[in-house]
Amino acid sequence: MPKRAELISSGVLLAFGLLLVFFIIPNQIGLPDYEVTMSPRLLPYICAIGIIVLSGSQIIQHLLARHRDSGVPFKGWFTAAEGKALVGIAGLFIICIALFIHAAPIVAGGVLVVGLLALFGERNILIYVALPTALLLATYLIFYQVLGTAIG
Amino acid sequence: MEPLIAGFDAVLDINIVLWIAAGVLLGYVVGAIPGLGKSMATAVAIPLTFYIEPLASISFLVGISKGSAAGSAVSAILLNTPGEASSAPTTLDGYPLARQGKGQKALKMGLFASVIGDFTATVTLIAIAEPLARVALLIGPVELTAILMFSLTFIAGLSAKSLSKGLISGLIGILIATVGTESETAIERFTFDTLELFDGLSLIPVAVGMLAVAEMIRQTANRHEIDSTTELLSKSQNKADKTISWSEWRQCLPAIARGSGIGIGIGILPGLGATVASFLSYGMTQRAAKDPERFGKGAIEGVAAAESADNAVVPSSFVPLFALGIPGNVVAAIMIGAFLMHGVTPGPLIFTEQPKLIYGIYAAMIFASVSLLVIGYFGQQFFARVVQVPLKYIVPVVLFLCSIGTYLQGGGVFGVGVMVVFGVFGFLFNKLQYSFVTFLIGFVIGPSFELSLRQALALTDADAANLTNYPIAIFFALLTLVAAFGIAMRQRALSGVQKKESAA
Repeated sequence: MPKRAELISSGVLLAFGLLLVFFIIPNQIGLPDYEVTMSPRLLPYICAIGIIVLSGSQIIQHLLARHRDSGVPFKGWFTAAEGKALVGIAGLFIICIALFIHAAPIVAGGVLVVGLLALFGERNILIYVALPTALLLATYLIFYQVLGTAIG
Repeated sequence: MEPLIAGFDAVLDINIVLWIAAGVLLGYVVGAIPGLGKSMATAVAIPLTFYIEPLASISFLVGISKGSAAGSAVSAILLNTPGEASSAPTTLDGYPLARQGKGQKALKMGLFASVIGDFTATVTLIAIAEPLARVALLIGPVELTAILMFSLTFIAGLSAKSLSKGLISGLIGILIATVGTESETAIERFTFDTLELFDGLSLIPVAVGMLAVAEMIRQTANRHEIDSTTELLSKSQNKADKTISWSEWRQCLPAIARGSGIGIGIGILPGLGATVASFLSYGMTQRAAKDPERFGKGAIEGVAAAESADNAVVPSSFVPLFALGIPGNVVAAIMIGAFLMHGVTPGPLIFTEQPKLIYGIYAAMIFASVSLLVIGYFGQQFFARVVQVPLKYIVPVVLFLCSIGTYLQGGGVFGVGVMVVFGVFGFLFNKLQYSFVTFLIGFVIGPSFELSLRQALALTDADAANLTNYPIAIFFALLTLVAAFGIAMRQRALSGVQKKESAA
């Protein structure tokens, strides 16, 4: 993996660890006003300090390695196709969650399947109708009829 | 023997038989599809088993994990694309055999080797898990804390690109496991006043997100590459190309025995996994061969060696799970979620508290091995067609099922949101070469690690000098240091070799 990506990811983790130690843990975990065997903050602190130490050591390691050789170019470790897939799928889920809350589960389910087919560039209209219908019908039969439970 | 017979009695119920067969069939189909592995299949199926009784649901999941381990050979042989990484060595000789028109022979040998490896490992599990659990009952919280630290370090070192990345992954997993209300003080941790976080994060949306959603994002990005590899199996009219002769059996049996042994040993050790087992078995079989130059050109022993080791790992990875409550790999970690969902805690006490269930599971595992043989043998033509289904139809179905499952088991729409967040997180984690295996294992063992650490602090009065009363704990603490040092040195040496190779 390119060294710049390594440095950035280790830097983000180091910042996350510091944020945990100095801000998140003190603000998000209270302390009991009675004596306890182990503070509820102990394990999160151990994890945060571990993350700081290890990510810090990774940064030092990569800086030293960078000094020794030129490293791999940063471009290319994350492809455009991966970016599109990541944003497309995550975005589609956000839309479907909103539809689930504000419209109906059936609409959200249908949009999810249709949206994913569109993301893949499907051109057959029959598939756009058949796949969501089959999945929603199968879900209805399994959960509402066979298992006797409801979704939504 | 009597409890096992009682276990068979419980399993030979038509409902459970059907669930096992359905699990194996579903697992085989999922495993045959390139890129979909056993851990993903098991994670997606867990929520769907919520409404089924414990024995049937765990048997179903066992069937899925066994079926998908065997099914991954189909795409490895026919498409030169392994269903998952552990079947990669199968492609080396399986695909050349398919190109020579001997695809059916390779598929049959892959299946027989898988079943033998799987069955041998299941018998080993039955033989050693309970005695090991009896020893584990003598282990107290101080020792358990040290053992958990050792396991996590070992897994971190072996499953990630570097030890520090593996350890960071495990620590993030433990940290995420602390979200929710703390058990001793009832103080909220990292809840951000969100009601849904008061009970902590459920394993299902986290695991489904990290494994399935992240994988689907990867597959979507690589879809052109994967779909273009799909080509038809070249068929031969020669009967000898479709069957396995006695001489081929004699050739393959030592490879299967070696592969099963390697798979069992590696499955019991936490962190190594099926990929290491199948590559090791393939390499050793090649080295042991009189004519190693045949390997890579269609040597049937290559298929037998890789598949027997790959499939022996699944049952043997349940040994530390049942005996110690420690998941050695992702499938075992996900199975903990299934057990907990049905009110059963895996660990040494399971043998005394739930003997009927555990022996029922053993019987189901044996039955799943038999189902694997029958379904794999008679469904060969069907699975050969399954591998040709385009990815653009698979991804919507998988993500739809993920959403339904996490909705039902992960706290409704909030669970679906958690799944998406961890899907994105898992994708980035993988891109940056952090270990999702160590993350998930850290997440699963987090609560028991905190509990044992708390009890250990109480027992030792939080004074390190008192550790001298716990020699086993000292032994594992030292072993952790030795393992960390050894792994770091090995990785340093490997990166030195890689640098030299790239410079050359």
